[in-house]
Amino acid sequence: MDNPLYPTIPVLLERSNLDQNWGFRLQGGADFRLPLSIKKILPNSIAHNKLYPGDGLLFIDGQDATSMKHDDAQALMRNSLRLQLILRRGQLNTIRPCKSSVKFAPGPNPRVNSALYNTPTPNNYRRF
Amino acid sequence: MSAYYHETNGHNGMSTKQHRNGNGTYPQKNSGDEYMMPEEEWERESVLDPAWERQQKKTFTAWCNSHLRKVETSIENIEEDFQNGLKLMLLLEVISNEQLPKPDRGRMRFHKIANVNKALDFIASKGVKLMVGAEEIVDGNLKMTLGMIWTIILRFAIQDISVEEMSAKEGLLLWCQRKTSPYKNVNVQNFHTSFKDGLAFCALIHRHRPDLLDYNKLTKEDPLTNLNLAFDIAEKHLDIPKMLDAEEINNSIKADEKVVMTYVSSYYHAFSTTQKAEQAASRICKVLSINQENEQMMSEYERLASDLLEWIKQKRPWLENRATDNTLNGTQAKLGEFRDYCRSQKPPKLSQKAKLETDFNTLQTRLRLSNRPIFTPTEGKLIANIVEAWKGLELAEKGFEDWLLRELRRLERLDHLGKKFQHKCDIHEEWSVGKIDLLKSADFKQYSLNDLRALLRKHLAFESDLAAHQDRVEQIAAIAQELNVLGYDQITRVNQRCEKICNEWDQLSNLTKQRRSALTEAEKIVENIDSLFLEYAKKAASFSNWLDGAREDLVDMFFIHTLDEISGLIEAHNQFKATLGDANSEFKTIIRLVEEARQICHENNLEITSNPYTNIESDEITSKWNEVQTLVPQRDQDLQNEHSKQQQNERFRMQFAQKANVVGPWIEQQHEQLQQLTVQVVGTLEQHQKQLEAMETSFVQYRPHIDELEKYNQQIQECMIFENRHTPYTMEVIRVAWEQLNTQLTRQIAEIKNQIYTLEKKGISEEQMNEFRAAFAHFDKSRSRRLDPKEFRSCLIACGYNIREDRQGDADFQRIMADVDPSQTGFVTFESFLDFMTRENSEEDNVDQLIQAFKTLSADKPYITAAELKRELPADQAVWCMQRMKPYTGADSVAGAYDYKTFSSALYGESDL
Repeated sequence: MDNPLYPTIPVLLERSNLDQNWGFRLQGGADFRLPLSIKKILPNSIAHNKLYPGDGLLFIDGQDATSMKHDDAQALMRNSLRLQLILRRGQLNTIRPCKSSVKFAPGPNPRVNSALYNTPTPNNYRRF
Repeated sequence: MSAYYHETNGHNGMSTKQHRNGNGTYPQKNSGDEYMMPEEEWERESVLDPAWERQQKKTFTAWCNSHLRKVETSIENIEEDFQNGLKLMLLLEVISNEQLPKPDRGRMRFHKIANVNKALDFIASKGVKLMVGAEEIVDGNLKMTLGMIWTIILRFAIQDISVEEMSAKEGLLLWCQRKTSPYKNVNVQNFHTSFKDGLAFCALIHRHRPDLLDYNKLTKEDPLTNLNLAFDIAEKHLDIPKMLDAEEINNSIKADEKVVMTYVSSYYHAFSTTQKAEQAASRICKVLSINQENEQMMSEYERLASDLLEWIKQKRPWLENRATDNTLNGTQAKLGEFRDYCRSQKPPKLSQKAKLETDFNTLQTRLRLSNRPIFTPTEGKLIANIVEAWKGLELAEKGFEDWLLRELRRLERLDHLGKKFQHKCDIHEEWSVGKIDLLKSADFKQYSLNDLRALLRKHLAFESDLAAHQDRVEQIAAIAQELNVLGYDQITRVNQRCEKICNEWDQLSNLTKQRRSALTEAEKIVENIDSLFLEYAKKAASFSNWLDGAREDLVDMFFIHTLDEISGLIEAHNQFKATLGDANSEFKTIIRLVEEARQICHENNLEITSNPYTNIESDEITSKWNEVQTLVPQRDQDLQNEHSKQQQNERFRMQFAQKANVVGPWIEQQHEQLQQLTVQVVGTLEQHQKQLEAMETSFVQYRPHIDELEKYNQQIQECMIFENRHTPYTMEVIRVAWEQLNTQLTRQIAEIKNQIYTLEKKGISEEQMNEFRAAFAHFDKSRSRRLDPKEFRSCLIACGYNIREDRQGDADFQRIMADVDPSQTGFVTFESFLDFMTRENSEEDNVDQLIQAFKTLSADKPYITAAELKRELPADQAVWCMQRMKPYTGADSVAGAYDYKTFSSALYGESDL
C-alpha cells in the first residue's frame, strides 16, 4: 500500500485542555467506504499549517486508521490532548478537469480519436 | 451602485450646473439618481412645494434622530444642527459603522467647513457624486441640507434593498407589493397616493406581526385612524420613530415620495431580520427532508433485499432436492410444480430484483447529488450478494429441470420394460408348463419299436424347440438385467421370477440330455416308424413354432417417439403380412397330411392312434392359426392408432414451432430496437422516455403470445415429446430472452428517469446532456451502456481531465474510479459518469450552509433550544431533529440546549474537531 506519490508524514498536535478545538474537519471512515481524511482547516487553529485539506489518515495515536469507523476516530481525537498522527499528504485531493472537453458527434468519429491520442497533455495539473 | 450614481456625461453636467445656479434646487438629484428624478419632474420641482419641504424636514429629522439616538444625541433643527458638521460626521459613523477622521474642534467658520467637507468626502468615497458645497451646509441652506440627507438615506438605507437585481426604488416597491399582495384594498403602485389611506402601512405590519393589529377591522374610509394606528404601533412595537404626519399625508394631493420611501425603508430594515430567519428555516427543512427521504429509501432497499434473499434461500433447497419417489405420477406432479414456479412465482421476483437494482442506483445518485455519504447496505445485502444469490438460484433451477426430464424418461422406459418382461415370462411359462414332468416320465419302457423311434424323433423335435426357446430365455434375462441397471422399483419380484425361469431352464436342458441318451439307447430296439406321421410331425413342429413366434410378434409392445419409427413398424408388419399366403399353403399341407393319415387308418380299418412323432395336434395348429389371423387386424389397428398418435405429436411440434418461430424473432427484433434506443437518444429525454414506455405497453400486450407458447409447451411435455426439429427455439430460450428483454427495458426506463431527475436537479441543459451522452457513447465501444476502466480513462482525458500516463496518473485515476464506482463493480455506468461530470460543490447544500442556517434560527447562539426548533420548523421535522441532536456541552450551555453543529456535520458524514 506504500505509495511514494503521497508522502507519509508524522504530525504531532498538542493542546492544553479538552475544550480547545483542534481546528479541522474530519470526513470519511470505514462505515462510509471513504478513507478518513481532513476536509478543511480553521485558520489560526492548532491544526493550521500542520494539516492540510486532502490529507488521508493512516494512524491515530498508533492505531490503524484505515479500518476505523468515523465515530471511533472522532471519539479518539476528541479525548486526546496529544494527538500523534501518521498521514498521507494530499491523498484525497479532488481532481478537476483543466481544459475544455473534446466535442463528440453523435456517431463514432475517427477525427476524435486522433485528437485524443496525438495531443500532448500539458503538465499543469490543477489541485484543490 | 455605480449604475445609479455614475458620473454624468458632459451634457448632463452642464445642465446640472445651470439648474443649480439658476434655480437653487438640489444639485445632487440629477447626478444622484436618474430613476428617482426624471428630467421632466425636475422642472416642476424647481418651485419646491412648501408642503413637501415641510414633510421632508420632519421626516428626515426623525430619520436622523432614529440613528443618532444610538450615540445618545439628537437634532432639533435640521438646517442648523448640521451646520458645524460635527453631528453630520457622527450620523455617518453610526449608519456606516465606520470611523471618520477626527473632527476639527474650533468654532471658526473654516473649522465648520473643514468638518462638513470631511463628511462630504466620506459620502463621496462611497461612490456618490455630490454636487453640494460645504459652504451651503454651513450657511444653513435648507434645500441643500435636505438634498444631502436624502442622498445619505438613499445610499445607506435604501440602496442595499435590491430584490432581483432591480433599482433601489423598484426593489423597495417590489418588496411592498409582495408583502401586501394578499391584503384587500391595498395596491401599492407608487410611494405617494398608494400609501395615502394608511392601509398599506397596516398591511405591512400585519404581514410580519399579525399579533399587533386586526387588519380586517380597518376600512378604507378612515385613513387618519389607519395612518395613526400604523405610526403608533411602529413606534411602540417596532422601534420606528414617527417620521410622517398623518394629516399631512392624508391632506396632500400627492405626498412627497422621498419621505414615504424613507419611512417604508425603516419598515424594511425592521422586518428583514424576521425574513432571514424564514429563509434559514426553509433551508433546514429542505436539507432534512432530503435526509428523511433517503432514510426511507434505504430501509425500503433493506426490506426488499431481505425479502428477496429469504425467498431465494427458501426456494433453493427445493430446486436442489433430487429425491424421487420412483413413480411416473409423482415426477410429473413435480414437473407441474416447477412449471408453476417458472411461470408465476419467479417473474414477480425477477422484477423485484430489477427494482432493487434500479432503486439502489437511484438512491446512490440522490445521495451523491445532495453531497451525502454513500449508502452501504448491511453485510450480505449488497447488490453483488443479491446477484450472486440469484445466479445460484438459476443454476439450481436449470439442473432441476434437466434432472426431472431425465427422471421421467427413465421411469417411462422402466414401465415399458417391466411390462415387456411380464409378457415374455407369461409366454415362456405357458410353454414350459409340464415339460419337466414329461421329460422325467419313463413312458417309453413298454413302447413298441416304432413308438420308441417316434418317441426319439419327438424328443429330437423337442430339442430343436428347446433351442428355439433359448433366445427367449436370454431376452428375459437381458430385460431383467436392464431393469436392475435402471433401478426398477419391483426388482425383487423380477429377479425371483427370472431366477426361477433360468433354474427351470437349466433343469430342462439337463433333463433333455438325459432323456435323449436314454432314448438313443432304446432306439436300437425300435424299428418301426410311421412315415406319414413323420412328415406331419416335421412340418407341424416348425409351423407351430413359427405360429408361436408370429403370435408373440403380433402382440409385441412398442415404445417409439417419431413418425419414422412407427412407419418402420408398419412397413415390417406389411412385409409380415405378405408372407401370410405362404403360411396359409403350409397350414393346408399340414392339415392335409393329418387327413391323409386318418383316411389311411379308416381305409385299413385301423384304430386311429395318436401321432407318435409329435404331440402337436392338428386342432392346436388350427386354433393357433386362427388366433394369428385374428391378431393381424388387431395389430393393424394398434399400429394405426400409434401412427395417429405420432401424427398428433407432430402437429403439436409444428404448433409450438410455428408460434416459437414468430415469437422468437419478435423478441430478437425488440431486443435490437431496444439496443438501438439505448445507444442513441433522439429528441428530448421525455420523448425518449415516452418511446420506452410505449415499448413497455407493447410488451405487456404481447404477453398473451408467450402464455400461448407456454400452453403449447405444456402440451408437448405432457405428450412426452422430447425433441423438435422444426424450430431452433426451446421454451427455455424464449423464457430467458423474454425476461431479459423486460429487465433491460425496466432498467432503461429507470435510467432515463434518473437522467431526467439529474437534469432537473443539476439544472443542466438538454444540449449539455447530449454532449455527455455522445462522449460516453463514443467510448462505449461494446455498446454495453457502461465503460470499463480503460475506456473511462480515455473518456476522462477527452473531457479535459489531465490524467497522465504515469504512477501519479494511475493513482488519480484509481481515486476517481473509487468515487464513481463505490460498489466496485469494475464498470462505470452512464449515471455515475454524468454525476461525476456535473458534480459541483453546490452552494445550497453543504455543511457550512446548514450550520449557518441553524445559527440564524438560534439568533447567533452556538446551540439551539427545543422551543426555537419548534417555533421555526414544521412539527415533524423539529421532532426528527430533537431525536438526533446531542445536548450542547460548551461552557456557555443552558438547560435543554442542542448541539446543531455536530448534528449538521454528521448528516454529511463529517465532524469538526
